[in-house]
Amino acid sequence: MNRDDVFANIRQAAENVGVTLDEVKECDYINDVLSEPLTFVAFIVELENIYDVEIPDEFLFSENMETFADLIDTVLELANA
Amino acid sequence: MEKLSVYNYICEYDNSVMIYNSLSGQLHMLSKQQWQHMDDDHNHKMKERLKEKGILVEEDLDEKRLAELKCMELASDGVLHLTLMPTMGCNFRCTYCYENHSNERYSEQDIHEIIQFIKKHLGEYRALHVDWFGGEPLLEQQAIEQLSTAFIGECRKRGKLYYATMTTNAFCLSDTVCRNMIRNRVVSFHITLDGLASTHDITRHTIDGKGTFDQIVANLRNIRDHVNSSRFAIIIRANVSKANEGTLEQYISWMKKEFGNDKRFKFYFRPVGDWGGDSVHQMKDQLLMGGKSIYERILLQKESVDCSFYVNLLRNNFCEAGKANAFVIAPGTRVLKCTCELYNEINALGYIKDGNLIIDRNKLAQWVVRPEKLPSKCSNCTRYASCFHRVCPLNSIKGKKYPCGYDNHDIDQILRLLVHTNDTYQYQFLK
Repeated sequence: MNRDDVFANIRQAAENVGVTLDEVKECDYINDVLSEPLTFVAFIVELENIYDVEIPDEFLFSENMETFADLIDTVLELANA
Repeated sequence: MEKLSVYNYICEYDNSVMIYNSLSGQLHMLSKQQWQHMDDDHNHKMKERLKEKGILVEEDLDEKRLAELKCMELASDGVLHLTLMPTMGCNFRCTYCYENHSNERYSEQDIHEIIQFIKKHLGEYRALHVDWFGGEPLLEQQAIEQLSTAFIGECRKRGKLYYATMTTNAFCLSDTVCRNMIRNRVVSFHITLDGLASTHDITRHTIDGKGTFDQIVANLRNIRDHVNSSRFAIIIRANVSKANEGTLEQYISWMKKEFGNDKRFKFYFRPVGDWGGDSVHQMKDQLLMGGKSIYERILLQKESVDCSFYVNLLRNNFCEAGKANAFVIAPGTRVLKCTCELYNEINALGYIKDGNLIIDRNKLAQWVVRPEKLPSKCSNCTRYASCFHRVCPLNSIKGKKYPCGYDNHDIDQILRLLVHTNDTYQYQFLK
């Protein structure tokens, strides 16, 4: 599993909650595209289901997960654990 | 060939025309000139946009059937909506409150029963939404923690979405408590400030009559400055009566200065109405008839606060009590349908026992099933596809005159307010 695969799944998870990430790059801020709190929570559930992992609650705080690159790192770490 | 949707509500604003479509929940703004020349061939791009928003539809489209489909989907949306009242007690004594502030609270047995109910029945739904209500829910933080942990765990186990909302007076909503609640998946806090201290403290005081404004504002400032998360929203409601109407402009300016630059804060203004109970009778002279005067005043403000919360009124006015899968659970696991008139017999559906809802299905049907014959005014109403004659099932059951849409009489002002106060809204919905 590489970063591109994870990013593709992140795009899919976002698509499932009605948000298109076609133009988004790794360095972009998550808040800029998933700003609505309920949409974000739903997106995290989709991602957890794809990877069968639990994304820790601390990632509900922006300081712990700002960009899509941060999220990819987290998913890779959790999926490989 | 296309035609204009039968669910378009059209109103003018300065030199523009605003078109709100109640079926799609979309709003679009055009210049009067564009509107008058819409059929010109070169307006192809604009027509495409109007089609995307459901404002223009194919000539043979049966929109009424689509509206009924939307109504069915809203009535049974697959989400289990629970309004949980961990306590009926409150540290406030608001002058207009309809509750009786008893000391009832969730017992350990109640919490156990609610968790059992979720474990047993979550599989029937695609998601779980909890609205923490009361009394004042934050007086029972331990119960909220215990239940939230169980709900998050159960939903995770089954890959289902869990989220919560909370109606709180915010007296106990410190930044630390706010962080805990975000961890408990609370995505929005609905709080009330009835104007500045001079008016708020008169209507929303503590049991012993002390003002609450300073404490609430201190909490909100701490959240603004110290909670580094954008995964929640704070919706500040102002109940406006004749008592505080005169200081509305000062209140808005102050709010703009304090919280206007933080996108997590949204603002909402409501006329104080009679929601039942005895307290409201003492302030009958203070009640406003509708919100028109409030909205007009806000519209006259040069700079205003973010009122995008009103978008929800455009999307649907379907009361939770009219949904088949929405229940209120009071202490003693009493299952109700509505958060008003808590002791009305028609509201008492039953209780939870051994993880099952033991309820009177005949009563449930009265809340959920619409009258066979809708009023004749519904058939030609442009706003039917957001109202569905489901704004207040309680009034329908009681045989009272049925309210016609939420803030229906003030729709022009609300549409103008959305355009006037929110750039994001304009960007997303008006272009």
